[in-house]
Amino acid sequence: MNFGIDRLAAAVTIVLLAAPNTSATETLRERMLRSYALDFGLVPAEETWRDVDPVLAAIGKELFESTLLSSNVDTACASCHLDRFGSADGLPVAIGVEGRSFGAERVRLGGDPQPRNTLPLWGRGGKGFDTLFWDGRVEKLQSGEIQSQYGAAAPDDDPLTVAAHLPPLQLGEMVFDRDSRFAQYEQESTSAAAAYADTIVSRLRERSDLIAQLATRSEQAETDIDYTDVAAALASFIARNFRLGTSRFHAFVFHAAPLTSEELRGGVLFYGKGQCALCHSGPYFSDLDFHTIAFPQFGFGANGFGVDYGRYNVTQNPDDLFAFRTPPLINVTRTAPYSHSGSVAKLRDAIVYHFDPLAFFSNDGSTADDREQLARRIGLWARDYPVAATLSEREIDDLVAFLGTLETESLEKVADPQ
Amino acid sequence: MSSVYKRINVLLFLCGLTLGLMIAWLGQPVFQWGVQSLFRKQFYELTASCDAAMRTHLIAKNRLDLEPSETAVRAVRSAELGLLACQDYDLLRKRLIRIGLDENALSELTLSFAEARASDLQLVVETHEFRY
Repeated sequence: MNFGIDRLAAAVTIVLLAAPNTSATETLRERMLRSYALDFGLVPAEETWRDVDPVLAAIGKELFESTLLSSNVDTACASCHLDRFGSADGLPVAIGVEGRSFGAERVRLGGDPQPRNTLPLWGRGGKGFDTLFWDGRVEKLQSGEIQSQYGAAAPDDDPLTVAAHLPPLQLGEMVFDRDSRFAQYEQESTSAAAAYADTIVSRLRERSDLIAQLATRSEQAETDIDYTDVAAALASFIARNFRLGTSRFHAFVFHAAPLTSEELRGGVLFYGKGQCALCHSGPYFSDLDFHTIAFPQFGFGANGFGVDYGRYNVTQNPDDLFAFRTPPLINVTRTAPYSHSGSVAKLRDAIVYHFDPLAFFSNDGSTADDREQLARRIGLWARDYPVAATLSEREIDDLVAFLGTLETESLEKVADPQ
Repeated sequence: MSSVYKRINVLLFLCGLTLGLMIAWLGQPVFQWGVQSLFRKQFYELTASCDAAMRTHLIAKNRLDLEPSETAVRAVRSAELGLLACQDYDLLRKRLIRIGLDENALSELTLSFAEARASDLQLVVETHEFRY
C-alpha cells in the first residue's frame, strides 16, 4: 500500500515538474493576438454593414429562392447557395441547369457542371468588399469605376448588383444552352444578355407578383422595372442576409471573450509563423487581391481540358496566370471542398497546400502537361513565399481550431428552391 | 550463531550499498535518456520551428529594405510574431533543465536533431567547423 502511495506521489511530482507554466505567456499571446488582428484590419462586424432596404431585401429573398430566374425554370440562386453548406453547395464544382437535388445527389443526377467551385456569400455587399468572383471579373476600382464584362456600360455602380446580373445570364449556369428558344441569345455580347434579361423580367411579371412588388417599392410602373431592379433586390438580400455577424473571434478581440488554448495557438500561428494573414487579412480575412497557391485542378477548367488561368482570363496579363482572389475565411469550416475548382476535400489539406504543394502529389496518371502546369503554379507560389512556414500536425490542428472561431450565422434561413 | 548473523548483516549492508551506488550511478543517465526520449519529438519540432522563424524574419527584413511596401511591413510584423516559436523553444529548454536534464543532454538533443535533418555531411560539418 505504502509502495502504491510512493509511486503515486512520485508520478504527481513528475507531472508537476513537467507541466508548463504558461500563465504569463498565455496573457502575452492573447494581447498580441488582439493587437495583430486589429493591425491586420479586423473591425467589429457591424462596421462592415451597408444600409440595406429591408423591404427590397425581402423581395430579393423571394427572387433568390425562385427558379423563374433560370431559362428552363429548374435552377435558382438557392440551388447552389444552401444554408446546409454554409451558403455554398458542398460540391467541387457547381452543377448548373438541369441539376436536381443537393450535395452528392446533385452530381449523381446529372446537370451542367460549371468550371469553378461555388463561392459562399458571407460579407458580399459589405463595405469594401468590392472584388467579386474567383477571378475578380466584377471589381470596383479605386476610381469608383466598375470593371466587369459589361465594359464601360456597367448596369449599376454597386459591384454586387453588377455581379448579381451574371449567374442568371450565364450559359449553362442558369441558361439552358441546348434549348432552341434561347439560341438567339447564345453569343458573347451585352445586347444578347440584355435581350435575355428582358425575357426573365417578362416571365417574372407573368408568373409571379415579384415585379409588381418591386414596382410598388420603387414607385415605378411595372413596365419600367428592368433586370437591374431584379439584380438590385438580389444584391440587397445577399448583403443583408449574409452580412458578417459577431463571430467568436470578433468577441475575443472586441469583447474580451475567451478562446481555448488550441484556438489561441492557432490564432498566433495565423497572424505569425503561418503568414496566413499576409493575404487573409482585413474584415473578411481576404486582401481581395490575387495570388497563386498550387492547388490541383479539378474538372474541365475555365480554359478547358483541365486548365484554369484564373485572373489572367480577366486581365490578359501573363503575370496573372493561375492567380485567384484570396478567398475570405468567414465560415470556412462549413464550406468544403476548397480551392477554385473544389479539388481539396478537407480544410487541413487545403492548409497543407499553402506550404507543401507536393505533399499529395502523385505521378500516377499525370501527363507532361499536368506536370508542366503544376511546376508553373509552384514557381509562382514560391515567388510570393520565399520561406514557406512549414507546420506540424498539431499546428495544423490549432489553425483549424482557430478558423472555427470565424463561424457566423445568416440573418434568415434560405428555403430550398421550389 | 550471532556471529553468523552479524556476518550476514554486514554482507547485506554491503550488497545494499553496492546496489544503491549502482542505481545512483546508472540512474542519472537512465533518467536523462528517459526525459530525452519523452521530449525528443517536441524538442525537434520547436528547434525546426524557431530556425524557420528566424530565417523568415531575416528574409522579410531584407525584402522590406529592398522593396518597402505595406505588404513588406506586414510580412515583417508577421515574422516578428512568428519568433514566438523561439520563445517556446527557450521555454522548453528551461523546463527540461528544471526537470533535471543537464546542458550536455540538451546539446546531445540538438546534435541528434542536426544529424536527423542532415541529408549529407554538410550540416554536420557546418556544426563543427572552425569559422574565422
